Amino acid sequence: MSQADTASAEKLGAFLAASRLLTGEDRLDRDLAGAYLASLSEASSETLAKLLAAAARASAASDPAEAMKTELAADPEAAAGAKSMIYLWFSGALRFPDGPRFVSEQAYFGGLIWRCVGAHPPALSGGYLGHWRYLPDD
Amino acid sequence: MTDAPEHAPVVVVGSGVAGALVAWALAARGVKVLILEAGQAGAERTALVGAYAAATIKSPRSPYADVQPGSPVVSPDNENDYLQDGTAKYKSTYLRRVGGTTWHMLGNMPRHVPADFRLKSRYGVGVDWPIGYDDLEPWYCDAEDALGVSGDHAQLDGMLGARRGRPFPMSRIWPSWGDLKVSRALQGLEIDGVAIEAMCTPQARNSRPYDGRPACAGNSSCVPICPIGAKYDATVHLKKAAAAGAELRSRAVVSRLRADPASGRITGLDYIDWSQAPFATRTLTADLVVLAANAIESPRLLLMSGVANASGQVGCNLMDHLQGQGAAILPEPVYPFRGPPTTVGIDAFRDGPRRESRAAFRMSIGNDGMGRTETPLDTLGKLVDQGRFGRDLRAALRDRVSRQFRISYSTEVLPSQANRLRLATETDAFGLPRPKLTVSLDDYNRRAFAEARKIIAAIFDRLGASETAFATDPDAYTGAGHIMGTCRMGVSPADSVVDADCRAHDHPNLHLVGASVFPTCGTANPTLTIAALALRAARAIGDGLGAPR
Repeated sequence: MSQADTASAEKLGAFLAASRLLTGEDRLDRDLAGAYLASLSEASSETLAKLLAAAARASAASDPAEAMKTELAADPEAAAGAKSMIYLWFSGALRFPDGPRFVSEQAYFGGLIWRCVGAHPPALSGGYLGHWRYLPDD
Repeated sequence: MTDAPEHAPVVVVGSGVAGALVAWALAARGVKVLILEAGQAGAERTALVGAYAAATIKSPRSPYADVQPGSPVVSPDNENDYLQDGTAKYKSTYLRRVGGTTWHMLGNMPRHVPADFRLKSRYGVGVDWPIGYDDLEPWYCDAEDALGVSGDHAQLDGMLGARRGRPFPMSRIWPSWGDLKVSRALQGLEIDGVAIEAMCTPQARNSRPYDGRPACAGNSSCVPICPIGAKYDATVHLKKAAAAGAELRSRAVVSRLRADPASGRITGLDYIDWSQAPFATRTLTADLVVLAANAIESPRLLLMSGVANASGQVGCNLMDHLQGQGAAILPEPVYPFRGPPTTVGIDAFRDGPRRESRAAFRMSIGNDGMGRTETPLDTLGKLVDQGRFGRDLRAALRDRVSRQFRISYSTEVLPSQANRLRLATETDAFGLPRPKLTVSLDDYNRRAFAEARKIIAAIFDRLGASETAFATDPDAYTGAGHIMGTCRMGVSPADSVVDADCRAHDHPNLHLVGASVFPTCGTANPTLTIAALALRAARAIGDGLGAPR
């Protein structure tokens, strides 16, 4: 791997680690992670850097979630970055005043919110006829 | 030597459900049919789903780039896309593309009830239809077979007097887990002496593989697109019509119907062919024309052409179903956003003596959370803004969204001369005058809004709901997507545009199909009645042409 590749792989790794901590979801799609990293870097690379650093510190603590809360309370910029990142993972979209802008079709379908609430993204149920008659599987 | 204009024995203007069914029914009897569609066929279904997925506002038009700005045929997507000058707003939209508005319909298929055809005789309001429920009943059965409607025959047979001649072709769409929970909780509930019962909503959504199309997989995006074609759309009958020999010509905007003043016969029409640049105007002669362009575009064409309007009723009596909702958080999960957006409703208020003074209404129990009051992404935004993350956020999201609920109501509008469509001076991309709409809100509907909200509040009470939310403005309503009434059916040429067979009083070889012919609109989604009337009219047209059955 070239130096640039190593750096970007590390960055993606750090992004995924922060994303796991902030979304509470261990299984995150790497392709979406790459796209989201690019979107958020473009929006504000400084904010993202602060956020990833805060997440790295919190992950090393004995109670990462509590540590992250403290980190975000102390740094409003990182907190704002966290909100954008969390919203993006759960919805597949960046938040704008006129509504959510989906990063891509895949991002819309990959939004974490749907499985979280026991449903599916509208237009992609992945389900069999009548599955809605029963409680969600998860 | 000049070329004689092309001749078409039968021309159908419009490729929505009404036009598609007439074209199919006639072609199947050996009639040569040409369908002219203003819009285009556009992208394949998967591309439509992709456009929907990427759309910020998942509006009815969002999947359909082919009728958005950039295309010369642009379909309205909300009330601001119309020219309007009334004291209220007309809010329902349509799709001007191959297959028409069925692409984004919800797909609910209730029938009118008998009283809907006799509003004047029974309640002293509105007008009577020149036909009754019994005249249309066999055609309702045929329409249910044609579209593929799933429903509970035993439950609906005889409801509000609407007897059913035969079962649905498919059994009812399974209600959701949440629907069953709510239905059980409502058992035994009476409001003002009326039993509140969750009735199956018949819908053109396959509950098993049917007619070469798959069963519903619960994609929950019926409005605006079914990803798999389990929901009916009119391309089903366009394909059948083509297989039977009909020709579909798209990107053909009919701009004028021509009539012979002496005989009153329609002799032909002009259309603008925008399949090439510059656009070309073409003329053809026809023996018979069926106008099926929806209740805005059909009267618009008649007004532009100066035909079929001795009654003065063309464009008048514009109707919609005016809708509203109550949203709430229930004490226990119902897990919305699974299955079709609604599978059950409350039909008890669709008829009754109160119609003398207030609109009838149908209520739908929703599977789609709180609707516009708070979407799942609204909830996400709120919780994220509170600083929540990780497992705490996930738990809070699931807890709240799983308990989101709504009940909507859909009220009948009475026909009124003053609610109408006229031609504006503004023109469209083809230089044709745009429609201008004038509507107002009547106390007949205001009283219905108030009563429906009261009933929903009582239901919420029974369910132990909290955070109940209704529109703050008592006059607020949304459009149902049901455009009706502008070329109404009637006995007399003095006050109606078509007769009971949908033949124009003024022109023996011009028929109108679609919801433009509805004299009153009841509370049912119009598509099934459109289909029944279209099949009935097609039978009369075919018989008139001497076509073998």
